[in-house]
Amino acid sequence: MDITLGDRLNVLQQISQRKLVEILKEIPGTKDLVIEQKLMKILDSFVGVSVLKHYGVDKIYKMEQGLKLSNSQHIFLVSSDLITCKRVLDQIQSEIPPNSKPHVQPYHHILVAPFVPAILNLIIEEEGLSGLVTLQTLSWEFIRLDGNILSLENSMFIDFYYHKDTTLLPALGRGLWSLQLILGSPKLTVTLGKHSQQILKIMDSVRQCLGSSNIENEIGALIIMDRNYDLVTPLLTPVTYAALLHEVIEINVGTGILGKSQVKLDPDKDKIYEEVRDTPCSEVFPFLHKKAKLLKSEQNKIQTMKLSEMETYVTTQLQKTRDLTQQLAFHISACQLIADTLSSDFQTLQEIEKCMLECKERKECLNYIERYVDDHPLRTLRLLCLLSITSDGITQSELDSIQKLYLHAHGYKHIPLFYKLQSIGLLKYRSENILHKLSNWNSEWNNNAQKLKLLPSYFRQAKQKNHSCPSYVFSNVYVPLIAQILNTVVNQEKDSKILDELTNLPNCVISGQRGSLSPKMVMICVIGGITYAEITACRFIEKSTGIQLILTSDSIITGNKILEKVQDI
Amino acid sequence: MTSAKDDEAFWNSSEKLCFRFDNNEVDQFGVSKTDIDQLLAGISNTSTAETSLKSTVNYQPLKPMLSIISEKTLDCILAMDKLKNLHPETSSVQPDITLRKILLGQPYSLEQYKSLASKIALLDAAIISGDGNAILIIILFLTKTLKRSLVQKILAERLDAVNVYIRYLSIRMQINEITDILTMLGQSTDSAMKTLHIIIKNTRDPDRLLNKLRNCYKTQFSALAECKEAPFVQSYIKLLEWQKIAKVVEGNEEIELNSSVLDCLRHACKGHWDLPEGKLMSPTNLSQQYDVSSRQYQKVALEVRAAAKEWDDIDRLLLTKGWLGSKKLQIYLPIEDVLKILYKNSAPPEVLEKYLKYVDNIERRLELSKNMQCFRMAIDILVQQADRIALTEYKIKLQPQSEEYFYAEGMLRMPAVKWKN
Repeated sequence: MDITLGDRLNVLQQISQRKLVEILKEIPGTKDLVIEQKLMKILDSFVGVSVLKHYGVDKIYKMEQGLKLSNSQHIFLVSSDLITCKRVLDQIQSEIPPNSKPHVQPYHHILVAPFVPAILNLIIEEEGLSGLVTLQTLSWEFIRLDGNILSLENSMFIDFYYHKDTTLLPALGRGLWSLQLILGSPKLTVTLGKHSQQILKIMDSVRQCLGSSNIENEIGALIIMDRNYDLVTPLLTPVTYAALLHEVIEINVGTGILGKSQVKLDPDKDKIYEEVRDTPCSEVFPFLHKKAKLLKSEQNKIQTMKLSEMETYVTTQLQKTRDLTQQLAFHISACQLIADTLSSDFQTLQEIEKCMLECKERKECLNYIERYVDDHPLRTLRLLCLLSITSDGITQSELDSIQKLYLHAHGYKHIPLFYKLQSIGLLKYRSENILHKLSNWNSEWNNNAQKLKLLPSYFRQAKQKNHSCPSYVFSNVYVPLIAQILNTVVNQEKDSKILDELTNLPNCVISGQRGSLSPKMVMICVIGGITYAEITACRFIEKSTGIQLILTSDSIITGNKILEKVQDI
Repeated sequence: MTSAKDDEAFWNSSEKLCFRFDNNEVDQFGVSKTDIDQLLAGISNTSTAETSLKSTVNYQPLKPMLSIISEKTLDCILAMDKLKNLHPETSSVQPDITLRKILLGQPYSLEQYKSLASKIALLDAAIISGDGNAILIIILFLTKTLKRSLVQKILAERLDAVNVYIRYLSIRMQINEITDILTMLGQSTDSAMKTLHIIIKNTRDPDRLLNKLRNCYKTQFSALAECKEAPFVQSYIKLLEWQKIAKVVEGNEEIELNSSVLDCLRHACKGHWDLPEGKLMSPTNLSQQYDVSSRQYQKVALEVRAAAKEWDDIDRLLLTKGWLGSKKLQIYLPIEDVLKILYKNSAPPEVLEKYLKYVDNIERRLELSKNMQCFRMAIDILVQQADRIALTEYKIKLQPQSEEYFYAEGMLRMPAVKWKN
């Protein structure tokens, strides 16, 4: 029997479950399981309640203050951030009777994901809980979402690019390491950025200690990119369905949540989603309309069915039709929400973004930002950041008035926001320069983007509504950098020079065997979150070149999510 | 810290230290056979030297040592001294191995990193490895085992380490330590902003927030001449003070402490619209105090007065008297935004029509008139364009027998119009 790539990727889920089961087995007897809220859906993706019960979990609780537990033995499952861990310690503290005997068997077990921070041992000692609790790592493998997208569902962007704290980097490294054990090692490796190189080192360390893949399988190439290597992509507004869906609705571990209805965004289970996910949104609505009509006519047919026909229908078709109806309803309301959210300004917004990429009409761009800063704070911040990056910076006087408007409308509590954006590199400053006012002035960013052929309008006539270039995800104005790198790696045989040219990029390292890509399988990892625009653009290349693609990251992000996280720091 | 358990842990860990030497032909006391031989040879030398020195003093011949105690006992005693001399670092300080243990979550110990050089090498190796978890635990080890000035010196040259440490200190809200480190590095602006951020994020109570902000401004921002955020912090303090005073005045209970300038302005426009300039609660006073832009002021005032259906106020807000009593439009936001606000607040057609006239593009004006159900305006424009076909089509869409329907019909019958089609 052939083992497909899908089979291999499905193993990940089983490994995650096995890891948890091994831990549960070591804690005999019945126990309560207390889970941090944000980990619930993740846990759900690889283990079911029946398995937990089988291994002695009696009751499952959501972690919250003042929790009353029923069993004497407790397992806490939390993420590695220290504040959450401290809350668990407080909970344990409140349960330990003041005169408890020393040397009792610990009743409290903390499972920390993705790993136990070394500092936590010191904190436990500080709290006087040493010996009373056990600490263990629970590191789940990549979670498979929407085909070949693998995510840890643990966003690391703020840690890496604001705090410049790489504590979580090994978690991603270990994920890639086990993935390589399952799929094979890459023949060619391309890294873009500092963390990408660090993650290779981490993988090396783990390999030295725990061994590497014995299977003969190999993959053609591994491309790793730091998120801050291309910040323009998350800032631009995408036009394809799955990408816009992620912009407007809440999606939790692959499940779209829209009011009361929830739909798993899985092409194997949802054929409608499979067909529309990579399609520009403007074409999705007519498609859904057609589907709805078909469904309607099917329902009409039922009315005139004979009894025998009815019976076969109920046994074979009914459930499918029910699912289809639910999915169709979900996608239609999602489409509606997308239209409402972007409203009639969508076209203007796209024009403004295009101007920014091409370094034109600066005054108009700034006016647009000022006009919408009160009512659409996230959108305007995105545009402001975009403008500052594509034009090598924004001047103090330009920023002053926007910052003042923003603070007046949304509160002085946001004073640190602009500083935070600047620290991350989302907001760039430059000094006033008279040369920039010249009409033929062009930014360094724009020059570099042209060299990398990221701006289709400069090297070819942009074709209207023609999906002939990965840039269609941004209505033909920009190719996400990772897609362009993938293109280069896939086509290295045809033009080896371009691959060499990549090494001129800052912090870009290429190692391994060059020539033709074989086997035709490429693994991509974006450190700090991948966007759906990138996923769609890379899938476009996957389809047009006949390769197999595995897209990995710590999480799936959008421009708004990044900015919301920056606000919440 | 001094519980029996901890002592036990300490001894366990030092035992581990000893076992490390197993690989280098060392016995369980940490001394190898060859070491002892050398040492014995050394002792016999010394003893001869000493005998010669002490030859003049009451010399008593000694029995051979080993005839009194066993070799094992001697080994044991000597091993005790040898333990101290044997510097563990020579054989066991290997940053790569330690880091790998931290990376893989295995038991590790940093205690054998005694010398300054080995501590620094360990930290540098961690920085290169990119494992923030290791970086933090090593910095904390340094802060415990080195004096403060040395730690600061080491950090000063290693920004990657500083970042990880500052993150940790922010979580534990150790503002003073953050300030010290960043000031030492010459990053006074970062220090001020991080402090401000921690204060804003973690202080819920408005009174305490105000006090902390005043203090933070005095100690950190006031000295920063070039910090563009400093004036905003000052405004923040001023606004909180204003809100505190205003809130106790009757009728202002709904002012929320720590709300935005525009929220306060909205409140002032709602309840204190007619107050003269210069009064505490007057809208103009507020917007002058905080330098609110004309656009934002006009927008807020427009929204509030439109919601209150005070259409005369809106005229006063948007129109100025021109020559000979004529009215001139003075707006700071696009006319379409003005219309949108009026329409959203269900302004009557005559108010909308007054401002629709200021839409210069006639086609756009027609479109807006239709969208906002200003039928008369739309019909008038179509008549003006002499577009009979378009007017007829428009009439069909209107509610039959309604006033506008008859108006359109009347217009279509007007003999004076020279229709173009």
